[in-house]
Amino acid sequence: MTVLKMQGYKVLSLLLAGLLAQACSRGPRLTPDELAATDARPDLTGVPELAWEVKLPSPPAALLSTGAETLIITTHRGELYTFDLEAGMRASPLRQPLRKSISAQLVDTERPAIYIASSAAAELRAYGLADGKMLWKMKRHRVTGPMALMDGLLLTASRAGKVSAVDVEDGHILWQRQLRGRIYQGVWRVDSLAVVLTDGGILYAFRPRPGMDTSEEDLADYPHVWRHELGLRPNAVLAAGSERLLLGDSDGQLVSIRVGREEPDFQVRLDAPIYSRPLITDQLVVVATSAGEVSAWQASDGAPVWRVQGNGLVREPLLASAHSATSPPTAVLVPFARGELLALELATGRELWRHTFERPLSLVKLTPGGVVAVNRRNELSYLRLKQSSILQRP
Amino acid sequence: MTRRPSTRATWGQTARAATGLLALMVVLAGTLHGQFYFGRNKIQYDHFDWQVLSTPHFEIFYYPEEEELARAAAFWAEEAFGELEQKFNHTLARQVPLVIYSNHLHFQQTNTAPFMIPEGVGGFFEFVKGRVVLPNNGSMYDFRHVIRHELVHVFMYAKINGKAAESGVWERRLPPLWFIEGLAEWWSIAWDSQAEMVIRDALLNDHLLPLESMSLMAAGFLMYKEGQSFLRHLDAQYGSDRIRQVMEEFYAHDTFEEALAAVTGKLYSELMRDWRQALKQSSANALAQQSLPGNNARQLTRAGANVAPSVYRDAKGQDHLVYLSSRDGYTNIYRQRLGGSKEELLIRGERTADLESLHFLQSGLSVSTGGVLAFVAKSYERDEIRLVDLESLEEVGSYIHPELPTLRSPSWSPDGRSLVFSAQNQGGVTDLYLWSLDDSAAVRLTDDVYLDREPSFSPDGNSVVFSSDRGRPELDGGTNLFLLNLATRELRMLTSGRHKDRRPRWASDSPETIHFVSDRSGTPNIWRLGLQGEGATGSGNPTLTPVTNLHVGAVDMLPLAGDSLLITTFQGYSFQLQLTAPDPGEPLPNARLPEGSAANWTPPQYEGPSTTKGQPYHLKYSLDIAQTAVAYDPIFGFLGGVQVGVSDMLGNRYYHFLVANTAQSSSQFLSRFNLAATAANLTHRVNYAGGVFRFANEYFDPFQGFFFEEAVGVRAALNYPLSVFRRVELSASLWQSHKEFFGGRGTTDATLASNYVSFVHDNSLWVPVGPIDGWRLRVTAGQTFDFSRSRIHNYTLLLDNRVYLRLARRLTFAQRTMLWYNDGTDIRRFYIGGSWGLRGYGFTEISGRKYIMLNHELRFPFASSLVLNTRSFALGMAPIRGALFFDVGNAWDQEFPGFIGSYGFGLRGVFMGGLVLRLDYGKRTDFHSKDSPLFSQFFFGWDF
Repeated sequence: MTVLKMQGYKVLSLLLAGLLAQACSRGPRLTPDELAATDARPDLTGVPELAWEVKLPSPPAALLSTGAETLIITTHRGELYTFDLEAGMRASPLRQPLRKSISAQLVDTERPAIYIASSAAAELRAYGLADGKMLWKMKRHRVTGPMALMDGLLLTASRAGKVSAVDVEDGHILWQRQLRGRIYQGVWRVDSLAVVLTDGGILYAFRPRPGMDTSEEDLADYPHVWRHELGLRPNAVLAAGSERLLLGDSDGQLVSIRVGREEPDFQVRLDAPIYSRPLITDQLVVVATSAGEVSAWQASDGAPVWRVQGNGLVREPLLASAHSATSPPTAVLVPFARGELLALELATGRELWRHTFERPLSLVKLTPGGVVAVNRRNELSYLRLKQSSILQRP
Repeated sequence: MTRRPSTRATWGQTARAATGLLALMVVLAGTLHGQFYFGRNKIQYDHFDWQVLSTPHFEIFYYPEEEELARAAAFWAEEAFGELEQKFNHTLARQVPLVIYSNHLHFQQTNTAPFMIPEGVGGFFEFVKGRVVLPNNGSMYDFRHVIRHELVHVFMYAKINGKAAESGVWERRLPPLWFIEGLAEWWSIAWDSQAEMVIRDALLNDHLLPLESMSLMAAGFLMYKEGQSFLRHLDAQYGSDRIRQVMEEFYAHDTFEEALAAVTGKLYSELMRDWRQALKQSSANALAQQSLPGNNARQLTRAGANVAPSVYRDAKGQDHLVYLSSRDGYTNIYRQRLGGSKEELLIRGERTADLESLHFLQSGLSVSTGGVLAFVAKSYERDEIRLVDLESLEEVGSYIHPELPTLRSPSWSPDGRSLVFSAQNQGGVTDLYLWSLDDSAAVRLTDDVYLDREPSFSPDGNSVVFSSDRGRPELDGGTNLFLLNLATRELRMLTSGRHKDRRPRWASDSPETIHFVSDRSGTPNIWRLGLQGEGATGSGNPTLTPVTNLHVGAVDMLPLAGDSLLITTFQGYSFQLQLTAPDPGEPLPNARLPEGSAANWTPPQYEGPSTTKGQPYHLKYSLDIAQTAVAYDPIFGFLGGVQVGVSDMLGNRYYHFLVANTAQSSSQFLSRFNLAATAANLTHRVNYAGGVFRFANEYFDPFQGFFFEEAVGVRAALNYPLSVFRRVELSASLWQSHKEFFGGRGTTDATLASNYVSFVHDNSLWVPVGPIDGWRLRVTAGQTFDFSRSRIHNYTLLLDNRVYLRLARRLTFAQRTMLWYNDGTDIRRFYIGGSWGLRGYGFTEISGRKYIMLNHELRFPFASSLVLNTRSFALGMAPIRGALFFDVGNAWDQEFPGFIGSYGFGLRGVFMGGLVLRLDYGKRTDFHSKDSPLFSQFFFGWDF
């Protein structure tokens, strides 16, 4: 009898542990209302007003916009949860599916799903955003830098120089290629092309073929490949526009190049390192240096358009805003690491507004209704943008 | 003699019995300088009226005499902040406290660090409060460099720990020291001729240390330069992104080496191999065009480091060489015949307060034609110029000025009637002064912010040539040569360019030739400036000729009669004197003296908002330590407690609080509360502390058995440093004691007062395993008076005398004499067995109210290192020293029972760069029989 009781306890314990593990390994759930188009942007010509400020449980690694007033937050400690910007509070349980730091994340609004990768855990997972269930996972798969989605493929890169295409349906690797060099900044999508930069300063662009491909051919020989030696530092930040790439590196080099072309559209060397992802539009490119200089250049030939000197380091990406989700960008938001947000008119560089936080900023994100900023003490602030009669739209 | 079996339980209980009072004594004494049983004293000679200048990212702590310097520091700190923010891709969340001192003598008085600050320390970052503390050595370039160097530490610490903290890693780890210091150098000054010289020497003499075992080697300055060199290589090969990324990812790896490999894609050993190969290739290319020290030269010194040579001719016409040497660990002045090799120790330095320092590597010697030696010595709170007749070795004069705390490099005039020297005033400005022996006061020759130093008289006595940064408004580290006409005070620039032109010396028999040291060829070498026909008018054909072309470098020289030179070379990570007849190279073509005078410049001043003014410093306390501890004793149960220490930003005032409880049941909770609060003030020369305490614990004493004691009282302590080497300590306690003896043995109550007075002397010289030279003495007398019974409770006398005799450079005979005498109604017994007492005996085996103990050791080097190198780490000990020992003594209560002792052999090694492990083998003896078995004892800690 005693033996049976003990076995019963064991079974119950295992059951509870299993349920707990299952609960912990779930992802966030979003209703269809919370999943709008991801490129919804606020109109920065409004007047910022601090709506609320709340302390987050741990330092966030990324703020992922779902397009609506909901954020998906991943953390350096491997946590994953949703945050309601209207209410200013967490909207889903805080879960830690990978138990390790999340190094790359991507929201797929079409499926809808979220893909998270941990370099420390060497694991890649997909969670359905409708029900929070894990769709698939792939072990022993290291991911460095951003991932890219293209035609049902999830493209990843490892630091060792391996580029992989993962089927978003079931998580199977459809093909892998080993590049000659290490990759530090992941995979980027430029229209229908996937782009990676290796530590020789070499840029590879290729058009992934759907379907299984087990051949061992080198990526350099892969069809539709374009290869260009830029001589940039491998940690270069990269922005993708329409058929055009804009890259900046820690030597202050700024290169604009059309994929497939032999020569860059223009190449300039700035006085300070570029850590912040630049902004690229059809007409202009905007770049901020670590010395706080923000400058705009003609996208076609690199002719300087305007220049603004700000206060100190800029390391977070420059953010573009527009009057509506479909109209072209009209303003740029520059997040200074020391704690200042500066909104500039894109065409002229005219200051629209600035807001200063007391502490250094670690993350900034645009949402449809305003700006979300997280400081070094993990305080998340929401600046709601209200239209003003003083600020005239161009 | 009372002998007891040695058991662990008895030791544990006895130790526990002393815990309460010891804790208070540690808290009280630990806040005072000279806080240890021995040790040197940090003395507050000066009172500083501290002010605070606030900038966006810094709080500058300064005193009014150095306000200009503080504003320059604020400017450079903000400048460095902006640049390092870019380099690190990181910004700081808080203002950085920057404590500045106008000169090194003031800096050595700082209370922001508890340790004694050696002369070689140019500043430090203290990470508990995040303070940067630094002095001004007179060079604005160096001052700016040190600010930048320390701020690299600040950023590095913030970045690495910030990254770890955001990832939920609470373990605070730092990279290896070679990376910490190497990066601080690489991102503050990049690369310079000094770094090139040190690395070339290490390569040439095969002592480039493996970075992976740097911590074992206590490599010092070489570690800075090797780290700097490696990071230079890493930057060139992989870019600074990789350096940043290593810091960002360090938290995610078990070791720093793994992080480096993960970021670069190469194994640590491969990176090291590549770096060494690159160094060798570069060095080989340079060596093909250069010569080595020793070619066409006669080596005059070999042991230790030898610098600042001066030559004179005695009454018999014999030429002598006088120089500074650190060959025995202290800095001394030696003399030897110019043609000979046997040296004579003239003046012993660094053993007494009168000659506390001879400023090795910072100041020179000069001997007049009459045979009078002039040198600078730190004597108590300031520098003095001392004049010593080299025939009689009598002191014949001295110069001291209350407004000039720092003096350097006196140089005699040809007639031996006056001296020119450089001095730093209270505000930190370095200028030239002329002291005529006929006058008591010195005349100021230059009066500006420039670093004017290393003056030398012309053979006719009408001019002085010196080195200065006055021609370098760029503050690029360059110094050039200048000529000052003493009659007209007219200044003339002799050299120009971004070179370090230093130590100019006129050839005594050639008034138109100046030799000097310059790094124009990449490392310091000797150059000659010919002023043929130049005179003071500047119309002639000057020549600039490389005199030496040494691969590593020469850092000083003295032109002698004829063509011979006495040069100081850097070789084998040391400085040696050589007599050489150099074969000069071809003069540089088209040499011309610079036109006009040097460009004027002033240090930049931080302006900031118009409201930014220095504010008086107000005490604001922050946490130094917060510790909790829970202990378990098999007999006494659990002990839990917390200790908190706070101090102000300048470290002048401390508060410590201790709360602990030993209750075993809820009913004992209040009665077993232990509380102590202590306040200490280190602002003045007299350091004092006071506190209150309540200790209530159960104790065991072998003679009193188990008992409970509650002690409530007050305690005060005071230290008065007589000098760096000597102090007087006073302490007094007044407390009410209530004891309850277990087993129905009754209770006692007493009101007790204790007074102790001690005299401490310590001028010992240490190697990593313990002292090897000098003298340490502690004499203590004290009594405890029982007011409730109006009688003396007990009294104690202690003598602890330790003498270290250097039999040879690496061979020391150490002798310790300890006498203890205790008497009175309350007996204090002491235990003298064990590794720190009579070796070969258990700790409690020998005890008594009185004891005598004599320890003798012959200490010698045994091995330079014993290191196990694996692919990813190095483990071992370095250095290892041996000892032959002989101990004798005994303890007793009433009658002396006769001597017992032990003898044997031991080894001591430094493990992981700091921990000293000791292993002794030997035999006991009672001086009658010889049949005792061999014993071995293993312990941690330094030699006595």
